[in-house]
Amino acid sequence: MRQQDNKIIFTGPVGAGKTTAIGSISEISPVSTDVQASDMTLNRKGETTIALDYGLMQLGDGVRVHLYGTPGQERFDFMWEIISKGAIGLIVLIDNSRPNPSGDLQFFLNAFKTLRTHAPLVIGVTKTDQAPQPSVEVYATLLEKFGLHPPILEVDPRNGDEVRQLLMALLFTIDPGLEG
Amino acid sequence: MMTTVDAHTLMVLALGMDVRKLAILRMAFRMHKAIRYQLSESAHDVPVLAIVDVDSPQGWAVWDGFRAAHPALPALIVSSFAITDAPAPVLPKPIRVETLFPALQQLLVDKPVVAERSPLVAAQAEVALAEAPRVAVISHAIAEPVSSGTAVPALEMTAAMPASDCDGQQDDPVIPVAQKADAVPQVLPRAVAVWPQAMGSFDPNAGLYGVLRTLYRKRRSAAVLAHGKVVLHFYPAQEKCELLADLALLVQLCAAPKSELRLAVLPDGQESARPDAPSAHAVLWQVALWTARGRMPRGLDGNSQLRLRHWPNLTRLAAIPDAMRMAAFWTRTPASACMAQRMLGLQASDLCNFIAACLAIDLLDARLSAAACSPPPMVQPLPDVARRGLLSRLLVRLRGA
Ligand SMILES: Nc1nc2c(ncn2[C@@H]2O[C@H](COP(=O)(O)OP(=O)(O)OP(=O)(O)O)[C@@H](O)[C@H]2O)c(=O)[nH]1
Ligand SMILES: [Mg+2]
Repeated sequence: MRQQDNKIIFTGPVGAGKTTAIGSISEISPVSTDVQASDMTLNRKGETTIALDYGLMQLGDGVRVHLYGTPGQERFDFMWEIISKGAIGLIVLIDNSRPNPSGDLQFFLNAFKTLRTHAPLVIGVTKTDQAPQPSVEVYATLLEKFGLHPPILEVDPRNGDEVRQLLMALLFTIDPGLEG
Repeated sequence: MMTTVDAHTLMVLALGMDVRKLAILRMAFRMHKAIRYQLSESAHDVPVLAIVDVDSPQGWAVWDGFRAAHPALPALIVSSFAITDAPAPVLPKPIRVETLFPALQQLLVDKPVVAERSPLVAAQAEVALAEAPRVAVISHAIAEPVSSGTAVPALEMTAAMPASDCDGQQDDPVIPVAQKADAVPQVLPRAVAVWPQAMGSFDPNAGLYGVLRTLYRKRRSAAVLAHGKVVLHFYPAQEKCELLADLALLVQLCAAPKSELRLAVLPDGQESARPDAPSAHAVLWQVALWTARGRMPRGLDGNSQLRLRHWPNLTRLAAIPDAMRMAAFWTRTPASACMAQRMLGLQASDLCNFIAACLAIDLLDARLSAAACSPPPMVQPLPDVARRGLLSRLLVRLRGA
């Protein structure tokens, strides 16, 4: 197994919390390429990621798990496929406070169709403190239509424990009997 | 390269199967904790059992080739068709773990576990047989490890292998034991959790659990009163519940399902929940844990086929040990609690609490009878050994952080 294959991808729309999630579990200061948002993202947030986020978890003996966050803006979607090659899992963060979070979810399921064929998927629903609806049930019903039954967990990306739970859900999706 | 195995692992040769079927089998073996089976995937492996699918394009030629190469290897034939005069026991498709493992166990019962083609292992086994003529297979879980020197009145115990997953002691793993157990290295007993023979149960229609569960399923809002006092306002359509009594009183009500509970319409001006009220799921889940206390909802037992419609929102619900494993397991495939316990090595009480909690929030599909079970769904193949090592280490890190 090549080292660079040990990577987990965080994706989702602008402002869903990808940079924050990686920052709250990475063991290095996350490398981020945020700039002042200057276009359509401006009214939602001051900074947006234009290239990608990168974080790292070191498991000892030089074994590393790389955490990549895709840029949220669709005009960078050409990068998504390159980043996701060989990933062991995909985490889609959905911002519940956006106007059409179910539409966002469908968009990202389609955008990462290729990766989904061989890597497990976990959905993290963020900003439920600001917008409790749609509920996890609503997303589950939508995912059922795609024949998918992934973990769907509400998380606050600022809370490292909750982000770690997302990753654990990913591991148990790969293997419910995983010991560790 | 030879597949890495420890002395406790039984290698199983699988023939006539495509990559997907092999992946499903590999996963089933990986998750079966009582006896560790492993797919034989290298010419250097020494299989002790075989599974031969005769429905592949090569049909029975696969069987003939197998028998020529392995004249004495115990084998199970799998097929979608009825076979008369089969040369070995037949397991009808779809293959389900509920029937596969008992069938493999039966093969072990019928034949002594002597590995093929390994002179060393075979010689050891012969010694064991010579020294211990009662080398045999006993069915069923042994909670404590069997010490060497344990005399086992074995064979008669294996005669009736129940079809169900768990009739108490009747049906747990097959464990070969020799009088000199250490002389038979192929299969060793493993401490295995046993599904309790008499599992406690509670009435899922009674008490606060029953009331809230019914309201939730009907999406009916109401005020719930105990002994004339309002204890909560329930808003299932809004996914909310306002608690208006001490938690201690709620715990008490859950423990006393016969307490007098009354429903009333919500008072004027309170038809909507406060935005900061706990979620209906969080309250239902907690009430389920206070009520179940390690017991099964009546009407379900260790053999009921269960499936989860989707994952519970576990980051916002009271913790149950191993809840993530159970959620991953039951969203993947319908299975009984016994099977889950056996495969995941979990506590029966945790399984019961999880089942009670999922039933409360209406996630549990328990209508599937064993016969109506769909064939195993497409699953992601299990990770290879190297990747599994990585995932285990990541899990340790995530837990320890
Ligand atoms: N209240 C609240 N704020 C959140 C939550 N998740 C993220 N945020 C905040 O939302 C803002 C945006 O988060 P980022 O991590 O920059 O989002 P991103 O997904 O990296 O966004 P792009 O790089 O633009 O695609 C930050 O200020 C976060 O602190 C949440 O669950 N609740
Ligand atoms: Mg970002």
